[in-house]
Amino acid sequence: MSNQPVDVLIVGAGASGAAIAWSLCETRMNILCLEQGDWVESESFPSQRSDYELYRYGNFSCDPNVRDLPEDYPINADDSPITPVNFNAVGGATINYLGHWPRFHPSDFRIKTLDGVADDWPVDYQTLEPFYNINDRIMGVSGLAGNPAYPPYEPPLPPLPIGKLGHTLARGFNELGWHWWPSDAAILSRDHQGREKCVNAGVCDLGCAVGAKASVDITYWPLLERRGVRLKTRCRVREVTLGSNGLADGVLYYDEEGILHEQKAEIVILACNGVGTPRLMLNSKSGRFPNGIANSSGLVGKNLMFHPLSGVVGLFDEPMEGFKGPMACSILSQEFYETDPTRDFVRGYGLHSGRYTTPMTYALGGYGTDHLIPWGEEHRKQMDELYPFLAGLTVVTEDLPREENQVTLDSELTDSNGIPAPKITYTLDENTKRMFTHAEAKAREALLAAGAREIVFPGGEVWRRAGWHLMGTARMGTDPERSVVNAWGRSHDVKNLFIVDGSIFVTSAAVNPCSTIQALALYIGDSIKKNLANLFD
Amino acid sequence: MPNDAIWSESHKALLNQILDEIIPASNDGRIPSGGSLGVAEYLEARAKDTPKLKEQFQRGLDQASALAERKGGAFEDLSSDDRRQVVADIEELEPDFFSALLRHTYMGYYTEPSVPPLFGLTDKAPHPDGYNVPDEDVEKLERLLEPVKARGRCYREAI
Repeated sequence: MSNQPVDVLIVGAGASGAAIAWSLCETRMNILCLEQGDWVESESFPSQRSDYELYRYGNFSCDPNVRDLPEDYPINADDSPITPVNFNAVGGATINYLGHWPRFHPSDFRIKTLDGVADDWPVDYQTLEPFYNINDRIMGVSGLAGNPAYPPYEPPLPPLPIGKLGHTLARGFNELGWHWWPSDAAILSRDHQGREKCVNAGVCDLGCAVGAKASVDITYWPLLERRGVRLKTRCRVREVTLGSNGLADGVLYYDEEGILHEQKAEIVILACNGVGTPRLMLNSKSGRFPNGIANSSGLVGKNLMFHPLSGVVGLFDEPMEGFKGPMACSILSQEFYETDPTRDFVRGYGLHSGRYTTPMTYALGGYGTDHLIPWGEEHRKQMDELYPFLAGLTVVTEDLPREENQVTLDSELTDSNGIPAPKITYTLDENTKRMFTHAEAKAREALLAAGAREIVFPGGEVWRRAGWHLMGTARMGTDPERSVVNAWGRSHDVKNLFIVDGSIFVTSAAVNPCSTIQALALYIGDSIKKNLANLFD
Repeated sequence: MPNDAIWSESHKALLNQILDEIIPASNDGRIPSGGSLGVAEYLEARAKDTPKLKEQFQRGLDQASALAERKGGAFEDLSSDDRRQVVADIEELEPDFFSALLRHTYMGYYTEPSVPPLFGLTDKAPHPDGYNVPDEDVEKLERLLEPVKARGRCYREAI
């Protein structure tokens, strides 16, 4: 079935797809976005149910293999200690992310120059800074200006309450003379643009029914719909098609009924995340690109980066009220963020305050792992004497790019439309392992300085469900042999094919990427507008 | 046995007694045991939905019953130590069943509306009301941050 051609076709209605649509809509081009998921109404969020915790392990799990909804595609992560997590809906993973909003540091874009590892980005912090600022205003970001770990900037809203947990940990960091700062969060500390401020419900992963958390279905998409951007849901793109002129000429997609459609477009933009985008590219084979579209470098799917996480948890004398407040956003220490040549690893990590979740999730092993707590008297002890008094630090490490960590197409597993599923092959880098050893010792030190009576969980295990941040699988660069897209997201091989999600990251930094993904998408949109006259040259 | 039940009354009674061992009541009686809140009905509903779980539970409960017999009688008549030993033996002999039992027991028990308030949480849905946390006192926060600010810039320029 064929449809009217459009000027711009965006695949994916999540964080990056919405941002670039917003950037491009002033051009008056005819923009269509295809999304395999649907709108998710806030009335359906588990956070509106008293048995909300069950949904974390059912059809609102962050793991698509557990959700197994018609709009999900399976992911084979048997060969990886970390499994990718996501959400397929209008809003993408901003529906179930935790809204932590740190920016990259200037050094994150220059790690080859500064530290002699990986590669520099073809863009820098200064270039992205205005786009970070625009995006912060649209999303509604809370935070405190003056963080000495960054060049000056001002979050549009005051900081969220850091809570008892934050105040306790802050005292520990101060005792040691270490950096900490209230977390920037894409969560409202004040009513803003018709959205209500955070009510501290503590279930950011189960949908924010009050609309305080900035998911793009309630930030960007209302703006886009008013400006005429069209969105078709439950449309799963199978492949990007190539015209005889060597340009992408559109896509083939399945609608909800499984009927195959052809959609022609002048410009194709991929915004399907660091697993979905390489999957689609690898499945878009042609005579010119037998190994997937725009893959003459052979790097599509390679250099997959996560942010490996672990947690160190201390036992305090007073209840830490871990179930109150945004799950991930209290305070963040970047004392060990930048490279220090005296350490046995390069690059660094963040120590994120860790709230201690809800009782059922605690009993099942916590947010990222599945180790059931014991039964019997030990169960009673854990729930009464530990659970209320726990506070932790989550270690978030920088992952260096390695080609052997990759997304490929599974030879057997498919989604409900018969499209090959992504297969993840990934191992932890030795540098990361050394970083964990250092970080867990430092987290222990900080918790004890903050008044922890003892350390009850010393770390030592990378969380399985930690694949929130999917990066690097169609990297940017100036050299077509060593990168997939150029400095403004355009494919080296196919001049009207753009990629705007975390796939194009050159390195991962050690912070949550969503703020940078969206700033980059806005920057790419701006670059397209500036180059419209000779866009395909 | 009700039409929609899949377990006999005796198996359900045994299950409740095992649940009492898995999640014992607190000594002061404030927090009830696992067998006293209808968790067995929750487990039965899950087992009905999942043939594998149904089969695991049937085998596990049969095993528990046999182990109790070997200790000298019905599970409920055993000494406290013997009951715990039977549960420990099931954990060792039927690890898949026991793991499923624990997981679903924790899910059923901690989402029973009377339980979260015992740990300070609301008995309602978290949204729309949430929890009362005062807005941050930014002046107080700035004071707490003075040592951090005093150390000065801690990022690297990267032109």
